[in-house]
Amino acid sequence: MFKPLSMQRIELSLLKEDAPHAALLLANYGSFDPEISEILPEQFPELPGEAYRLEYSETRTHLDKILAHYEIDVPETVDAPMQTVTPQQLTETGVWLKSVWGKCSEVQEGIHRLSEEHRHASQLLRALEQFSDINIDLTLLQKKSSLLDVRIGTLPRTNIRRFEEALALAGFIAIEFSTSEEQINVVIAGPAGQTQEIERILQAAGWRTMEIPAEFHGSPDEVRRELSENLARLSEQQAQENARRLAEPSKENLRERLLDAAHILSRAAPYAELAGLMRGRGALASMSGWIPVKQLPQLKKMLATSFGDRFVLLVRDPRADERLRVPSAIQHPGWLQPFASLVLNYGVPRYGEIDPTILFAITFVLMFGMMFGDVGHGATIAFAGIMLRRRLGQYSTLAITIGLSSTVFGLLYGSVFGFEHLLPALWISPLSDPMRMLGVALAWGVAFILLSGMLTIRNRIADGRMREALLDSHGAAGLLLYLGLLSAGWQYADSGRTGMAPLLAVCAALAIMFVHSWQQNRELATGERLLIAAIEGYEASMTYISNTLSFLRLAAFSLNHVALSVAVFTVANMLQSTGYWVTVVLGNIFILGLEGAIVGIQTLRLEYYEGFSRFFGGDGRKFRPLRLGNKLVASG
Amino acid sequence: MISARYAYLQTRISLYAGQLLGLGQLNALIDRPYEADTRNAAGTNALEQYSVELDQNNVNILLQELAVLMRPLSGAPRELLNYWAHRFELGNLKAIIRGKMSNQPRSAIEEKLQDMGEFTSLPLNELLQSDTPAELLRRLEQTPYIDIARQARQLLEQGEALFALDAALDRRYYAGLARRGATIDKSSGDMLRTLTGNIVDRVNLVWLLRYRFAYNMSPAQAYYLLIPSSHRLLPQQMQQLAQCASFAEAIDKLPAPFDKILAGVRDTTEVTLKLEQENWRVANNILRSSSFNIARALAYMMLRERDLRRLRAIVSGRSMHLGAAEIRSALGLAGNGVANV
Repeated sequence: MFKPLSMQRIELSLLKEDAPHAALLLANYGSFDPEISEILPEQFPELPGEAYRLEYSETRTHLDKILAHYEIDVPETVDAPMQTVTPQQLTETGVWLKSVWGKCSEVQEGIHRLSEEHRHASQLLRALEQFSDINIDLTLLQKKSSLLDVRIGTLPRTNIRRFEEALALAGFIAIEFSTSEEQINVVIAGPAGQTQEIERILQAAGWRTMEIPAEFHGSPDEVRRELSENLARLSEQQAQENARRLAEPSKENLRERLLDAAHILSRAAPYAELAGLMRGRGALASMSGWIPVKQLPQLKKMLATSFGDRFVLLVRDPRADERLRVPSAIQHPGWLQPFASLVLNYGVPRYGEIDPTILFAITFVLMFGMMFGDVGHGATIAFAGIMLRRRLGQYSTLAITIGLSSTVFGLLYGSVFGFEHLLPALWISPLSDPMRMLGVALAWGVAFILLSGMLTIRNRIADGRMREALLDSHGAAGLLLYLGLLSAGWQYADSGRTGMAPLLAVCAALAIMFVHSWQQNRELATGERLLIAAIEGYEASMTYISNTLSFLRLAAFSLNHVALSVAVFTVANMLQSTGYWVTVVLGNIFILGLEGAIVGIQTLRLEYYEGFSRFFGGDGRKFRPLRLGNKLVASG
Repeated sequence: MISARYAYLQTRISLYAGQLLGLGQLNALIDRPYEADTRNAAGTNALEQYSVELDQNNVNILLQELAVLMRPLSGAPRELLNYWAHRFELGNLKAIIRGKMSNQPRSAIEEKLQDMGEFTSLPLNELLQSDTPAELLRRLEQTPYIDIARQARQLLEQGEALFALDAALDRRYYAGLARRGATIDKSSGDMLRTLTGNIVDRVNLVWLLRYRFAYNMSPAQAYYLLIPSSHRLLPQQMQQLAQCASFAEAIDKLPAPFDKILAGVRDTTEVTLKLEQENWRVANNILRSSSFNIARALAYMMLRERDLRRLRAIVSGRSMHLGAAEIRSALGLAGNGVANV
């Protein structure tokens, strides 16, 4: 729970014909994270299953598109999970799905066409209102003339000026008579005999010829009615097409056949995924990846049961140079999941690094409670977490725990919905002794940073970076500097003087960091090297001090909480009984919503910036075991 | 205030500007003895593959540096630099449309695509998954390229060549660049407008000459296909040039300063080279002689792209064992009076 599971790298070599079965076995096993085979391409030059992978990828694409088209959800469980999918079976499924998608695509095209017609008809209807603005007889637009070429149509709005200028070069004029956000209606006129030239411009401009109803000139109302009827008919057709689309799967067992295909592809997925990573030669195939050490005996047993002695399994520990490539498998109990999500939001722990989830959970809950201590508010948050557990999912636990923490601190502070006199404070009312609160917050910050520093040293040692663990500003030297600064500060605050020991510690730490930085920047010019080494020591000192002071916000927000409550009650006291209670209730809702959110963000900020940024690399690789599944295999 | 805001940007640009190649460095690369090359001319396939890798590598370098320069920016300046990178994606979109229209397999289309990393805005995977051109256009209509998708659908229905679509995409891009350049505030706006305006003028003039005298389009059609924006080349002047009967007449009637820049050119390739050199000269001036404005960032990116393109051309030329003179000629570095750009 405190660090990712110990992993081992395996190289499984077996007969090529057994590879699909092995892929299914490993997917059902659920603890194998595949990686590209370490065998040299010269030794195993072939890519067995490449054709299978491509076939799967294309088939999967078609299935996904069909399922989206028919709005069918696929169950997460997979039928007959150990039944292999042969290349022939995959091809047959692919051919069938391609033909189904062909039909779906035609339907989509039809729906799209209806939608375009609808858009066009709507625009025509809008344009109708402005036809009267044109000062010419529109029936002329439909008459062919040997001298005059007149056309009416729509264009995209963009580039209309250039269109008019280009037409002018060909001796044409353009009259705009109706515009919308996207389109513009235009009448163009010019000398006949330049059909080809004009049509090329129209084509490039995205011209769409407008059909003028024959009776337009005579009775616009009739045209309006006809267009409205046309629109209604198109809407009805669209609705019918959509209803037909959704009803289609119930015909000829299409839904069942599609679900069968989905199961087939789910079983084909592991081999398709492995195919992109494994190598082969002749009748042999080799696949590689990572498994948790504790799962190795089970894997050996499964392989022996399935393949007898027809396989070779090579196992080795991770090398120091591949630490970043080793996946981090982290297991947490259910109640820690929301905290784990927040940790993963920052990054995945490196392999071998401390998993900070438990520490994060404890400190997050405590810091939130300290900043937002109120029995009433805490109980409300916890109660909301319980009542909304379905909607909040895993975050319900987070709400409950921070709510309880807030309640406990509320008891310590003696605060209930901002009322400071209903309960006696078990420890201290924040506003009664702000200095004490600030002192506690500072002490918490010191403890937090010291713990972070120790974790940093531990992680660097585990990472094989011993020099950095000892000499860096975030390593032991940094910790010595911090302890020296703390001790000096304490002595000065206590007696107005500083002893020799803390000063020596500070100087020694700075000297160590200087030498470390000097040696690390060998390639730089002497002046620049000197500057960097000097600034690093100064920066480390300032960072430690500012990071510690950053924790004063723990006290500041607890004081702020009381101050906000005082403000609410001050306003409430100015009103009569109804107004008083309305103000108290609204004020508490305001505090709960706004201050609660701010405190949550501040707590997260302290965790991420003052904690994680010191000791947590967060650049690990998440353990992603091979599984049966409904997912696409990346090409290439 | 502006100085403080852009201090990081200016420092970064100044540092980056140090890696721009001078004429001497280019000449040294071109004149380098062939024996010094570690990579010898291999088979055609290997050469093609190497060129593809080089192209991708150049895009990666440009986008990485662009991402660094964009860091301190926000609003319109950031949008402009981001849009500048967008043209690589335009190439991807063209490759997908062409590939799908000619029924190429997905793998063949994918080979032609440039990886844009964090600058990718198109759902490339979804577009590649389409089985037919109609499906591709339906998917494209879900993106900001809805206007292009609609126009492409019309062209597809009319069985038209892809040329019109490519032209529409390019026109749309450069019009967008000019529009974005015009929205930058006054402090950097004049120089930016000069840079983007010069690009638009160059593209317009080259297109105009090519459409009219290589593709034999009518004046009206050639004029319509130009970018609906201009800087020093005014719409009326472009209309007059479009109505010229020959390439030589058009060059003779060029307004200032293009008459001097393009004096004696024989074809559109020379026009392109000369105008590009003029653009680089202006960019170089802005980069070297101005300070604390966004235009320097765009100027640097233009010059950096020029260098990477030149390096690619030198590597390709040497892979094909071309002579130094031929490589210089292809780069527009041959002859007397070559500006140091």
